[in-house]
Formats: sequence, structure tokens, C-alpha cells
Amino acid sequence: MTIVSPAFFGFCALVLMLYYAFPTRLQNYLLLAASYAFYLTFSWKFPLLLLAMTGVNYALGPKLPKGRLHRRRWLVLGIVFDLAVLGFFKFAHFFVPSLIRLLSPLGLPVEGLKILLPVGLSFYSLQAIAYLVDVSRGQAAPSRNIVDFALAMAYFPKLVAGPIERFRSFIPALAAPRVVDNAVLTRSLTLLTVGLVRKVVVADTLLTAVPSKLFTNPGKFSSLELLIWSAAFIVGLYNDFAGYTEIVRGVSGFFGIELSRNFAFPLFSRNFTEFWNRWHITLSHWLRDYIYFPLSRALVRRNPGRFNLANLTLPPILTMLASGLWHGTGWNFMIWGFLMGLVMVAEQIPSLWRPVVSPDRRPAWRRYLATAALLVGGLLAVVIFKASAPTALVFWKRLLTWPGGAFPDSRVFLVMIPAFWIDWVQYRRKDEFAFLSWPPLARAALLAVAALSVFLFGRAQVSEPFIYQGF
Amino acid sequence: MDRTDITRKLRVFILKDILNRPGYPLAEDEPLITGGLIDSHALVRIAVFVESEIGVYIPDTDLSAEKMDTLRQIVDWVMAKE
Amino acid sequence: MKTPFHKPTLQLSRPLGRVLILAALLLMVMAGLAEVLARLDAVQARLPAPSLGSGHQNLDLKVARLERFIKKEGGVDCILLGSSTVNYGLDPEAIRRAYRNRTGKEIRCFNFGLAGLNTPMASAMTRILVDRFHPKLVILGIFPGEESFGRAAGQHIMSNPWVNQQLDRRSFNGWLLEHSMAYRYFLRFCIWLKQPDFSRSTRRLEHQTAPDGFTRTTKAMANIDDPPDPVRERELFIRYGHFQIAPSHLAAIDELLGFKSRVDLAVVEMPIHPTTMAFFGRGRADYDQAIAETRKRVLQHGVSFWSAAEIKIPKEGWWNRNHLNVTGAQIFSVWLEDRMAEAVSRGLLQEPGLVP
Repeated sequence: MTIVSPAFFGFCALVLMLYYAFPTRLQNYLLLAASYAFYLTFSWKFPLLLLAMTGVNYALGPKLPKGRLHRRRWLVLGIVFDLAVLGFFKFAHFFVPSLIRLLSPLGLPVEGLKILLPVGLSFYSLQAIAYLVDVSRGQAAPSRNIVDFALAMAYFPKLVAGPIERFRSFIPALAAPRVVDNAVLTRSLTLLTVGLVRKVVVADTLLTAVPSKLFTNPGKFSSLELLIWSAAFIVGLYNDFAGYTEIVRGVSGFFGIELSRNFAFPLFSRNFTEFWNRWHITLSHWLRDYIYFPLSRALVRRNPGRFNLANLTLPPILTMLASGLWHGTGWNFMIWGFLMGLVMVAEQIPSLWRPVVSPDRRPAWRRYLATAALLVGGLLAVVIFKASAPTALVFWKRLLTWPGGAFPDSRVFLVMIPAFWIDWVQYRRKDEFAFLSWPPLARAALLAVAALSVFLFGRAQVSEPFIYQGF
Repeated sequence: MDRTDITRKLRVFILKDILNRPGYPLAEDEPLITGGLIDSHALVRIAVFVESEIGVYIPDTDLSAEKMDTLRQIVDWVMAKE
Repeated sequence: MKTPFHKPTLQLSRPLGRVLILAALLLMVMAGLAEVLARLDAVQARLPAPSLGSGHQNLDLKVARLERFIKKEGGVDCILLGSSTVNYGLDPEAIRRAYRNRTGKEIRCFNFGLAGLNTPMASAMTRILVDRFHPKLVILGIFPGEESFGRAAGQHIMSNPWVNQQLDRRSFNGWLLEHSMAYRYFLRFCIWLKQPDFSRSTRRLEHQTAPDGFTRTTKAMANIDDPPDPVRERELFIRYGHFQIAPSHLAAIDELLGFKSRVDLAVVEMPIHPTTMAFFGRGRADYDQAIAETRKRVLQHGVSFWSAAEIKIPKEGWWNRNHLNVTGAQIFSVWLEDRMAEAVSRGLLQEPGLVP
């Protein structure tokens, strides 16, 4: 069941009706059952895995607080287990062919064996690891309620693609009384509406317009086309993911459960370090809290000097390599992670000796240059993220044949206007609910336009052109 | 160590070792993280400094803009733990 | 003030939903206004033809043009149905003039030639045209070659929600397409936005296509009397080389002719240049067999079959080997009107025209 579909919204409506009909003490049970039912729509196998991971991590929780016997071993076991499960499914395509070669001579029915990455595994495995670490550090209490813990793992609005919640605050929130009042309802509707506009109007339109062979056969395109369509892809990707997150946050709000924000106007970032604090925030913060900070702190403790090479390079590079690996298992993701890490190292270098000035107080030309550099860097980086390493080289080389070719017909970029406008309005007030400060009539007009746009763009089915050449 | 001492020590460290601007009039409420003055690496250095010079451990999960964005917030946090 | 929705978790209070209600009202006003504007002649005259989202190069245009035609003329008497051979080869205006000169009456004729249309699709379209637009006469132009390559066009046409809505395979999208002109214009906007090349070619076709559906081309094939070149015209040799009469064609002919009880029908063999025979695997034999089989079925149903064998189209009347241009269409259309007149005089067809 995909998130943006009539089936999903019908499912949410049904669960909502039952939710408010149920006594408060049984609402979490209902949500848990609904979450597993939702997960079942993907495959009957996925809930079994989730159940196993839930059971193991829940059982380990009480063994980890300070003072417990062998707690470090249990912590290591838990992290290894979670990573092993994630690694098994992520790397399956590497070893499955070998497995088939090994087992089929034995007469075992392994031909055509496929191991699919369970939907959401990449997200809930990170949540489980964070839970174990937080409990061992004393920053979270081990959960004593299996229903609340299982719900934290399986909660359907965030199950498929996050946000990656921290159980130290999420489980208490699930256990606490929840209130959905006018303000919560209004904010949830706002998130849902903005999310749908981003996803249905902007992202779906842009991403279907991007030529399918852009990142597989860049030689077919001129340098201008590569540039323009890469930009379209980035904006489409941003609105797709941001839209998805806002939709699930909106849906979750109707249940009185707040989910974390995942995007904070990343396209207005002034450098990559800031960008990674505005893009997929929950993942960035997870990487920061569980890889960057521990590693960096250990290195800085050993050598507190400002100019220490290891301190400056290892944390960002290793953290971004981990990010690359999380996103995918190809070499291109590793290269992407390494390059991103290098960029973040480079951004730190000037501050080693130069006076650090807030980006807002720098001269305008420096701000515009920084933004331009970020955009160019982002465009170049997205290539290695999407294409294999050799193809990325072809892509980058082709970009250097500037200016090449005529300006492509990119009228589809018109849908970027509402996306940038939404971001701009929110950015100016530094508030994702900026629209709520508008007068009621203006808000109503905006809502009507949004609803109509989502309906039309979501409904509009335009077949691929058929040009009959029967001559 | 009282509040004034902690504030002075932190201010000197931040201005000299992080911002390279010893004479800068850093206000206690000036946003450091959201203002783009300090990044994650600088936060770690501040945390290690507080650990070694003031004797208070700041957990990784508290090294965030929500809790450590201004000098005043850092000092308040340290005072609360002290 | 509390609302009825007041429980431990849900604590809504009045005023509630003011903005939502206002938005709903505004939405209705916007949608209504858009619909009114989309139906205005002055607006339609300035915009490209609305779309059904079929992806077919002229289905959407023909439906839009036919609807406007009927709105302007008050109805349609005769629909010329077939593939691109009909689209370029039959001029309703020429038929109208010839008919007026002969009878003093007016006949409202519309060209509904669709690129790549084969007989099964023609049968489905006949049902739609009869049910929806109520012509008195449908003339089906056939060219046996459609069986070889009509499949792709059929998929586009038969998967379209509007088409399926007319064939009682209803859907919400089909309902929208049937009832909302604003939605159709939005689809056209989507084509403009997402498929610029197709939008441009559709626009070019719109300029070429008259309000009565006839698509004019003045191109003429040089050296048409020369035998086909197996290298330059290889594509057509491949298409027609393994020609077979498809069972679906014969079944569809039977199905189509079954509409005889609801509308006057006639079938006409569309002219092709004699050199076209070279494309068929067994040359003339294949072609003649297809025509003969079809003619037999048509006559068995008591429907007129008009053969184009007797027509002489000059070489400047051919766009290519199986399509007429505007010159050839003029000649053929006048000939067709003559055949129609003959059928009416023999009582095979009712008088389709109106008293002026």
C-alpha cells in the first residue's frame, strides 16, 4: 500500500474512526494492529522480521542500564544483531548468486532466489540501535511495555521511510495521554496539504519528466540538458521526500502523535555542513549522534589541538561513508559519501585560522557565491548518487563540453514555482506553519487552490504519446 | 566554579580557539549554531573543553541547537549539572 | 465551546472548520467558474482542443471537434469513419457542396478518421458515435493494411477512460472526462507541460484539421508512379509483407454491421495507388482477397459496399501511396457523394440531409 494512494487514505480514515471509538487505554493496541496490517500489505514476510527485531531489542533493553552484568556485551550483541539483519538484506544481491551456485547442485530449489530488502528495514533498524545505545548511556529508560515498544518500532505512518524517531522521547510520548485539539488538527491538516502539493503536484510531475536515461546514458544529452534535468531531479527528489514526510506527519498528527521534522528549507543552505542539518534531518542527526560525535570526541580527547588532521578528517569522512552505505551498496554510494565527507572537511579549513563570521553577516557577493557553489556541488554530487561510477565520469566530462546544445524545453519547471514559493514563505518566517498566520480568507483560498491542484494533478492520466507512422 | 567564571572561560575558549576572534563582543544570547558560527566539530571541542576544564560531561545527544545554541544556554546547562 | 467531538484524546472546540468550510465553498466556486469558462465558445476558440488523455495523435482532437461541430450545426447527419486514409482522404465540405448542388439540401458531415484505426476499433467507435452523437449515416472507409499494424492504436484508444465510459465500462476518470470540459482542458495543459514535443505536433495537427474533422495536406509524392524502393520504403514492405486477413477483422465487420438496425451504414474501399500492391506479399492477390472477403460480408448484411476500383486519382492527388492529399480527397469525396446519392435513390439508404 503506497503512502500517497486512495487506499492508504481510506485505511487511515478507517483507523482514525476506530481510534476515536476505542477507549484511550486500548488505542495503542489498535495502532499496533493497524501498523502490522499495513505492513502485511507489502509482504507477509516483512512483519515476521519486524516482530523478530522488536522482540530481540525489547529483550535486550533491560540488560543495558548502568550496573547490569555484562551490559557492554549485550549492547554489542544487540548492535551487531541489528546491523547484521540490515547488512544481510542490503548486501543480499552480492552473495545470492554465489549461494545459488553453491546450493543448486545439491538439488535445493534455489533457482530464481531473490532476497528483497524489506520495506522500512533501513529505518527501523537505526531506531533500534539508537534505543540500545541511549539505554546503555542512561539517556533513556528501558521500555517496560512491549506494546508501546512494538508500536514505536512499527508505527505505520513512519514505518516505510521514517522519520527516524528517537525512542527516548517517542516511547514516552506514546505512553502519555494524547490530545488532538483545534491547534493540533490545524497543524496536521497544514502538513498534509503542503505535503500533498509537494508530492503530487511538484515531485511526481518533475520526476516523471526527467528523461529515464539521464543517469544511465548521459552521452545522449547535451551539457545543458544534463544540467537542467539534474536540477529538476534534485528539486523533484527534495519535494518527493519532504512531501512524503509532511504527509505522514500530518496523518500522525490526527492521532495526536507528533513525528519529527525531516526537512528545514535545505535549498536555502549556505554550505554543505548546513545542508546536512536541513536535509533528512533525522538521519543526519542519527549519524551525528551515533557516529560523528563519539568518534570526534574520542579523537579530540586524545589530541585537543585545533590543527589535528585526524580530528578534522576522520569524523566527517567516516560519517558520510556510513551515510553512503546506508543509502545503497554500490561503489557509487561509497564514492558519494567520501566526496561529501571531503567537502565538509574543506568547509572547515578556512575556520582554522580565519576569523569565523556568521554567513548572514558576510558580504552579499560571498553569500551568493556560496549558494552557487552549493548548487553546483549538489548537482555534481547527485550524479554519483544516481549513476554508476564509470557513468558518472562520463556525465561529468560531458558537463565540461559547455556550452553544448540548445536549451531544452523545460516548461515542466513551472511546477517548481509553487515549491520554491512554499519554501520561501516558510523560510522567511523560519516557520513551517507560516501559512497559519495568514487571514482566514487567504488561508481558505490557498487551501482551495491546493486541494484542486492535488486533485487535478493526481487524477490526470495522460498516456504516453502514440504517433502512428502508417505511411 | 561560579557562573561568572564558567561564562568567562567558555567565552575566551570560543572566541580564541573556535572563532579566531579574541576581541569580538560575543553576546550571551547570540546564536552560535543556528547563526552558522560553530559546527559539529566545534561543538565537540567545546564539549571536551568543558569536560577537561570544568569537569562536567556533556552527552552527545545534548550537543544540539535546541540546548547549546547560545553561550547562555551552554552555561545554564553546565550550571545545572554542576 | 465544546463540540460533539469531545473525548479524552479528541478535544475539538468551536469555532471549528471555518477555514475548511470557506475553502470548500471557494473550491466549488473555482471549479464552477472554470467549467463555465471552459464551455464558452469565445474561450474554446482561443485555446487548443481539450484532451481525453489518450496519447493518440488525433482521437482527442476528433472528439473535441465533433462536439463543437454538433454544438454549432445542431447535429450531425453523416460520419465518415476509418483510419488515416479517411482522415486525409474524405472532405466533408466537398461532400456537402456536391450534395447541395444535387439536392438543394444541406448535409452535415464529419470526418472521424483516426490514425491507425483497425476494424475492431472501428466497431467500438461506431457504437460510441451512434450512442452519443446520433448520426443518420456512418460510412466506414476500409484499407485492409490496417490489420498489420493497427494494434498499437487500438491499445491507446481502448484503454482510454472516456472511450470505456461510452462502452459502459465506467470509472471516475471516465465520468470526469464525460462531464467536465475544464478537466479536459487541464489534461491538455498537462500534455503541454509534460509532453512538449507531442503538444507541438498535436497543435500542428489542429491547425491542419478543419472544424468538420478533415485534415488537409497539400503534399504530393513525387515519382509516385515509380515502383516502391525496397530500401527507402523497407518499413512498408515489412508491414504488409506478411499480410493476413485477421479473424478479428471479419468478426468486427460482422459486429459493426450489426449496428445497421440503429443507423444507416455503408462501407467504402479507400483508394490506394496501384504501386502499393507491391508491398503485399502476394501482391494484388492479397489485397483483392481481403476486399472480396469484406465485400461478401458487407453485402450479406444488406449494406452497401462501394469499390474504389473505378476511380482514377491523378498523380498530383496522392500524398503517398495509400493516402490522398487535398486534391485527391476532393475527387474522391465527390465520387462518394455520387455513390451515396445512388444508394438513396435505390432505397438502400435513407436521405441523410436536411431541408435548408
